[in-house]
Amino acid sequence: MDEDLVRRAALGDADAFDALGRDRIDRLFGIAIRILRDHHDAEDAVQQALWSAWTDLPSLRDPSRFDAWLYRLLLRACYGAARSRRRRASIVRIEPDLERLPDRVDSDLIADRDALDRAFAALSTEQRAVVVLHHFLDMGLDEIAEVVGVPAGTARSRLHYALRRLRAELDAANRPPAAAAGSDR
Amino acid sequence: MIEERRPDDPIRLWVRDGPTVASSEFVERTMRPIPRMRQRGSWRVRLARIGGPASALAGAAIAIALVAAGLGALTGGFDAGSTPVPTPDASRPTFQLELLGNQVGSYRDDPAALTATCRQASDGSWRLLYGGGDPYVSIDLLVVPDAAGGPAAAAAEIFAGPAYLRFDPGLVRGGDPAGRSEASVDIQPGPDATTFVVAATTPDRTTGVDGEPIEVDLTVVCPT
Repeated sequence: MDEDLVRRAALGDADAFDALGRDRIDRLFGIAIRILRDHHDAEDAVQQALWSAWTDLPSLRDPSRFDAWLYRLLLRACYGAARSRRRRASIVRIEPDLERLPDRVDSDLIADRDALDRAFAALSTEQRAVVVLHHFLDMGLDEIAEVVGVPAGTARSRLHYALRRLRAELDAANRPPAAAAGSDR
Repeated sequence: MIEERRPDDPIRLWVRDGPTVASSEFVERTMRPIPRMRQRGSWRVRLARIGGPASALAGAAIAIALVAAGLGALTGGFDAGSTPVPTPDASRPTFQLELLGNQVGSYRDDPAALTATCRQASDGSWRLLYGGGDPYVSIDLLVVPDAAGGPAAAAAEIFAGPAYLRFDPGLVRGGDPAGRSEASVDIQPGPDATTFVVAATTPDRTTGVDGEPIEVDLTVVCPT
């Protein structure tokens, strides 16, 4: 059904594209805000991706690849947004969804979040993208490689490096104070 | 090694936490303008739509247009026009620029840019002047709402990162040779700002001569 919508949209049917866009905009926003960690930048990136998708849709050869192509447009917009703000702002923290927090909100949990916020901020935008595609969208490495437009080996190494860095920061945050004081990082 | 995705992985939980729904205001702001935006048909699609013997004619026309563009580049100069001095009290415009083709790139305005003005002249035309950012972007955009009684026309000279482009198919600033470039502009007046959505296809001028076609998407918001 979606492939039919994509074909119609590619021929200029704005209603068909409206249906496609509204069905995906929440997911696109979820990806963008996790990569960029900024509400306004995320909205800008999603808007840019959807507008580009509409204007460039006639050039999409295979309608079944629409989602992968749309994700790629979104990542490109995220990379651009990250470049443009590099000098003006640091990564901001996404506040947790209070409805989904477990009952136990203790200092360890807050320390974990702080550690992950810090480590994520230190990653490149490309590394953040693969982490988000992997853990937020449950994409496998081959799918990530297609969306990001890199060989599978590159996607694997980006993900491996990024997760290793996040886990190291998490481990350091959970290490007993004496052990943490004794380690040079 | 395939990364393990345990449901209790703290990294996974942390990534999945946070907003998952865009605001309805944002959804409308994004989806509503789309029917007014022009789609860019690829050459492949355009030829397929024409079909049959007409494809050959279209191909020949494209080839002639490209040759003409090349000759025009060799013989013609580009009248960039005079550069007005920005006034200190000019409203600060914003823009989003996307290039597709040999010069792929996405660019946005830098709030710290030294030059960023957008003004409407007494004849109704609009002019954006911008210079700044990293990578450096320079845009000189002229929009004429009803050029020669016809549709709105746009002409621009753009430096964006490594790319250099210019187009003026509407002959509002000296003009391009016939067929060298295409450009359309959608003017969206608003209570606080006027938005210009420019879609153009123009040869890459980065090397100093006309090269492969570059697709330009430029959205400018000029506060009023």
